[in-house]
This record gives sequence, structure tokens and C-alpha cells, in this order.
Amino acid sequence: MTPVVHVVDDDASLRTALSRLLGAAGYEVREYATAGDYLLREPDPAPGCVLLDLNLPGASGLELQAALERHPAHARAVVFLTGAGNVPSSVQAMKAGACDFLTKPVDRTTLLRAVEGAVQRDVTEHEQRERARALRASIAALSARETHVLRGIVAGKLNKQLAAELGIAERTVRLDRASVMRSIGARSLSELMHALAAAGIAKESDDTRE
Amino acid sequence: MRVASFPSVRRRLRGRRAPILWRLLAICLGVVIGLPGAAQTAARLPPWRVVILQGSDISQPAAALQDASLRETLREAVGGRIEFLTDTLDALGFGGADLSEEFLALLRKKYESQRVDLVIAATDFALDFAERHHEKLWPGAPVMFHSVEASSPLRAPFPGVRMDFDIEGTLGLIARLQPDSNRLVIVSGAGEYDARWGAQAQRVAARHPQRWDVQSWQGLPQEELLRRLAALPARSAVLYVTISRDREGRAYVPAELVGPMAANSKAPIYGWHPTYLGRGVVAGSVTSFEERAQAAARMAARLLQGAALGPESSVTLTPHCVADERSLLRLGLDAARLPRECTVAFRAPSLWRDFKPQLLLAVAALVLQGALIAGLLAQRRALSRARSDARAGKQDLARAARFVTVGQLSASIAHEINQPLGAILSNADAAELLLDSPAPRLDDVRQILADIRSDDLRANEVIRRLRALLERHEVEHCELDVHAALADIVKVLTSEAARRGFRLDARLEARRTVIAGDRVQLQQVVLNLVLNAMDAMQETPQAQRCVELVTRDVRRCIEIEVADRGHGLEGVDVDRLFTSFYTTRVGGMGLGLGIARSIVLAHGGSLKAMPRPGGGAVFQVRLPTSDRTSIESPSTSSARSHQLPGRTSAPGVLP
Repeated sequence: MTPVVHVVDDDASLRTALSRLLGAAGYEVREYATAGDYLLREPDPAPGCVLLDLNLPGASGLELQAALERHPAHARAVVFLTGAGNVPSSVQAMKAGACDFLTKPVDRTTLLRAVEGAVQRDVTEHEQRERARALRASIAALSARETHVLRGIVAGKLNKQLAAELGIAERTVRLDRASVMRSIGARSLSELMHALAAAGIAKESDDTRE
Repeated sequence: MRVASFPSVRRRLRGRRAPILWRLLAICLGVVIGLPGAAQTAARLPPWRVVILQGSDISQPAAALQDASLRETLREAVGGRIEFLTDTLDALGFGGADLSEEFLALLRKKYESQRVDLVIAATDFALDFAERHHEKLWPGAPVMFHSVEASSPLRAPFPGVRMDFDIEGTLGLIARLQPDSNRLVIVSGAGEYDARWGAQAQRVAARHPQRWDVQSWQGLPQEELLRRLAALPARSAVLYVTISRDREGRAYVPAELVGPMAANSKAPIYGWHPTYLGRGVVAGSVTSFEERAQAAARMAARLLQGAALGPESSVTLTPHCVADERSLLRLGLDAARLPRECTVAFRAPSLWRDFKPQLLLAVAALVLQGALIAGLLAQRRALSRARSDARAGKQDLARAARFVTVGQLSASIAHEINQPLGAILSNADAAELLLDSPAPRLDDVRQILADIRSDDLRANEVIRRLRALLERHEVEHCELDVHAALADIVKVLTSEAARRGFRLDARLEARRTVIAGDRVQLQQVVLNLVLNAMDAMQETPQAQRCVELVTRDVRRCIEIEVADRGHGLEGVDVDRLFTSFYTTRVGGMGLGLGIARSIVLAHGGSLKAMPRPGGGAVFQVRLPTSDRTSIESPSTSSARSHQLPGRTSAPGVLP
């Protein structure tokens, strides 16, 4: 899947220029004049990054960055590109997780390296997100008893304890446990724990109820 | 009265037969009781009887002038005690039969029983007559003469005043006044007198053969003479002798010919007869008739008083130079070349000569006035210099304030410039990549180059606007379009608003937008008001953070309104708001509004601040508009230059 760079800049001329450059460098490019335009568009499933102007009419670049957290489907790695960056805004942007903070006019090498880094990161994050999504789906597909068993495993409970809690035979618990492991695709307890941690589920055991 | 009493007095005196006795007594009395007494006595004495024998036409100017002058002078010299008897011999002078005998008989009869105290013969002809006949006509009476040529021989021992025509002196004047003259025309008539003096003039002129080519025009009829004079080449001079008669026998009054001659002649005319002067002759060495007559009168008075004068007492008057200034001027001759003792007569009217004291007074008054005016002007200049210094100070202050304002906008300005620069760089990079690709699409590259060009112009435009704002410029009031001026700054203000999280809502709705004013100062005022509005809204919630910039027509003015939703004018001293150094902003200098208002006032407008219904403040600028509704100026067109062909307009540019 070709990575997509989302260019958000109010300046049509600059947007066109950036699109051309990124297009020539092999990226697929989408253009947006305002932060709102980006959020209103259907999220593109492809990995990529947002090349975001700091000064935008209406909601600013920093505001869009903050909003992405609430819109996970739109969330992409963010590279800021600004005509007049200052220290406070760049610090704020980096704290909020921006990959890079570039100033216009930006040199091609710098821009492409930053975009490439951001795309790379987004691809990684994308995979992680995919895995977590799959894991969540697997967990959601478990039966109520299996879910209980999974929680028990994560909480470090013994089969005997679980059997007592559920009022079933210890052997049945062992079968359920194998079924859970099979559903999640973990061959060992450590693999299971790792997968859950990577998907950000392990610590908040409540999430497993979803 | 006295004249009426003559006969009776005379009769009385003659009855006693002792006029000499009376005369002696009168002289003694005069000595004893002084002159007034003598005059009184003299008035009672019988008048002298003087015969004037005129040899020339008394109606001729020369003779008339001389005769009148002689009589007047003599009458004065003897205290009015005189009686003139005149006989004219003129008609005897030429042609026809000799009438002398008949005339003599007539005179003998006339003077037979008359006492005559003195006979004055005027001219050679009269002298000749007197010499021959005085014993018969006026026995015992002394005879004298005047107006007799210097060279005439005397047959009787008479005293008199001779006249000498100074031909040489007159030629000398020609040489002085026309040093480059090479032709001398001697004009004379066909009469005996004319011919004689014409020949004399030629003889004198012949003494200077190397100087002049001498021509003699003798006896020419008037028409021909005038025609010839008009055709004279340059560097000619005319010496006019006399024309009493032309070769066709026509008679002239010689002096009366001078006028027409001078009017026609290309060359200056000279002559030695005083009667020619004032009629168009340039100059001459003359003896004046008055002088001659006066000398004769003095001699006559002495003879009457008993002096025994012989030919040795004869007087020849010294001629002197007289020039006619009008003729000199007319012919472009330089009066400075004349001899120093030369009398320049008939001066052209000259204010300086005639009204010297008045002129001096007037000049003095003018000088005083001038000095006063100069003083006032100097004062005025000092004042205007002080004013212009003050104005320059104000301008410097306004400029400093613009620097502060623009400094506040620096981030936005950097953004404005970096946008096109960024686009240019990225476009260039893209083009490079495209050209590196195996099959570059040249159309794309061409499009890229066009975009680069327009972005370059855009960056340039930003810099131009910035420079216009910051440059030291002479404030000049010319016609400008308010909307065009605002369009320039709305762009950077929009960008600044975005940067600071505001919206700028610009609604330029006025129809009459042309004012007489200074573009940069107008922009400064609006920049200031808008930035102030943003500053005032630091605490305003996001949804309301909007600055409205509206223009509209209000009567004969354009109203520019800047409205905000900021802290408003609560607790603000509105009266002091526009004075310098009053500020509600921490770190503010308090110059902006003061300067803004002084700019608006200088434009004949007004600047008001008022609370806005619903919170915030409104600042209203009103500027008088001119009658025109639009202007096509370079600045308007440059404001449009953002929209280049093939490009969409950038946000922030006004429609």
C-alpha cells in the first residue's frame, strides 16, 4: 500500500508545490486547506503522515494535532511545517508527539527525510494498531467463561483457583485456557502477555471486558 | 498805459529840446537815489527809437526767433524805454528789377522828420543797404549789424555781431558720432545762398578726402531728395546746408525740409543752423540765434547809452555743439561719443532726470518696504522651518511607531514571505526530481516554472508593502483608494490573526473610497487599530475572537470601523485614550492611538472610540472622500497583482 502524505496548508501555491515534490518522490498526496477539511474527509486506511502548517485559518495546526488523539482513524504521524516557528510552539508540538518541526522554506532532503521517518513510524504504528485491533477482535470473540479465564491468567491466578471461582472442573479450565491461547495466537504465557501489552490491554484489565 | 502816454511825453520833451540834459539828470538821480529811483525816472524819459532793418524774410523761423530775442533783450536792457521801427528789405533780395531807388525814396519820406537813435541791420543784405544809405536816411544815428557772415567785408566802420557757420566743427561731430562712416552727402539747394554755402561745405569736406567719399546733391526737388535719402547705404552721413529753392525754382523754408528729410533718411543728418535742431537733425556745431540776438542787444544797449563803438568791437560768437537726443536714440548713435561740452537737447523723457527727488523718495520707500518684507519673510521662513522641523519630528515619531507595529507583526510577515519562498523551493525541488525521472513531463515542469515566477512576485509584493510601511517617506496627500490601501494590510493582518488564534472579518462595503491622503499613514492607522483590537481580546473565548474591519459610506465621508469583543472601554479614560503615552497594555508604549489620531486629524477626519453593544469596543475613523469613486493608480493595480493568470487567489486577498 503506497503511503499517503496529507498536506494541510492554507496556501494553495505552497500546497501544490509540496504535492508535486512529494508526488515526484513517490508518495501519494492529499491536500487540505484547513484543519477541518482533514477531519471531515473519510479517513484513508493507508499509512502515511500529516504535513501540517502551524498557522491555519480557523483551528491551528497545534489544535488539529491535539484533535487527532480523539480521532484515532485520522491519527497519523505529524510533521509540522511552519513559516514562522517559535520556540514555544515547537516545544508544544514535539511534546504532543510530532515527528518533526520544519520551517519554510524547507530543503528537499530535510523534508523527504522527515516525511520518510514519519511514514516509517506510522507504518510501524499502523501494524501495531492492526495487531491490537485483531487482538481486541479475538478477545471480543471469546465466550464469557473464556474471558474470565483470560483475566485470571493475566492476573496470575492458578487453574485450581479459577476452577473454584467458576465452579467447573480444573480440566475444563485447562481446555478453556488452551482455547484462549489458540484464539489469540500465543504459544506460551509469555507470548500472550507480550501481545496484550503491545496492544495496550494487559495493564488495564477492564478493557478486556469490551 | 505807459505806451499810451508816449506821444504826449515825447511832445513835451521835444518842446524843450533838451533830451540829453534830461538823460544826464536821470543818470545823476539814479546815482544819488539808487536804482529804483533811476528806474522811476527812466520811465518818465522818452523812449529810444531803434530802426531794425531786416534783410531776410521775417516769417522764417531763424529770422523771427532772432528778431524776437533781440527786441526782448534790448527792451529789458534799457528798462522798457524803447520803440522799434521795422523795415523789411527781403523782397529786394532777388530777381526782378532793382527797386532800391523807389524803396529808398519811400524810406526817406518815412524817416524825414523822425528822430532815430540806432539802426540795426540784420543780415548782409541789410548791412549793405545801411552802409550805402544810412547818411541819407538816419543822419547821425549809429548803425550796427548782426547775422552777418564772418567773411563779409565792411564798407563802413560799423560794429556788429558776425555769424560764423562752423562747418569744420560739424564735420568733426560726424566723425565722432559715426567713426565708421565712409560717405558724406552734402545737400544744398539751387538758390544763391544755398549754392554758396554748399560749395563752402564741399571745400571744407575736401580737407578730409581719406575719410569720406563726398557727394554733393544740389537743387534736388523734395521728392527726389527724399527718395535718394531713403536709399542711402549704411555708413553714410548727410550734411544739410540749406535749400531755399530747388532747381525747378520751387521755394522752400530750409528748416521745414529737415523734418521730412529726417523721416526718410537712412543716414543721420547734420547741419549747423540752430533752426534745424529739434526737427530731426542729429547734431551740429551751431551758434544759437538767441545768443546771437542777445549779443546784438547788449551791443545796441551800449550804443544807445552813448558808447562809441567801431568795427573793432565786432563780435564773432563761438559755435558750440548741440545734439538732439531723440534723433541720436532713433538712429542708435551713442551720445557718449559727443564732446563733453556738447549740449544734448531735446532729451527723451527720462524719469530719472526729471523726477530725481521724487524717484529717490519712491526708491527709498521701496527699499524700506522691501526691507520690511524681507524681514517678515525671514521671520516667516524661520516659523515655517520650525513648523517643518516639528512636522519632521512628528513624521519620525509616526515612523518609529510603524516600526513598533510592524515588529508586532514580524511573525506574520515572516510567514507571508516564507510561504512563497517555501513554494518556490519545493517547486524547484519537484522540477529537479521530475527532470531526473526517465520520461520527464515537460508540461509539468513548465507549469512549475510559471508557479515559481508568480510566487517570486508574491514574495516581492510582500517585501514592497513592508518597505512602503517602513521607509522614511515624505508624507504626501494624493488621491488614493482606501480599499486598495487596506487590501495590502488585510493580508498580513489575516495571517497575524490566524497566528494568534483570531479571525479577521473584513467587509469593505463603502462605495466612495477615494480620499486625499497618505497611503502609508492610513495603513498605519488601521494596522494599529486592528492589532489593538487583537490585544484587547487576549481573554476572550475562542468563539468570539473576531476582529471586524468594516468600511461604509457616511455622508461625504468613508467610515472605517474596527470592532472587537475585548475588554472594552470599561475603566478606560476615553478622553486620554488618544493622548500619547497612555496605555492599558502592559509593556505598551502608548504611542499608537495618539499617532493614529494625529494622522487622522491631519487628513481632516475624526477618530472616535465607543463601547460596543454586547461587549468590546468600536473604533471609528472617518475620512472625507473626494468626488471620484475610483482611481486607477499603480498601487491599485499592484494590489491586484496577487491574482495572476492561472492562479487561484490566495486566502486573505480581498475580492
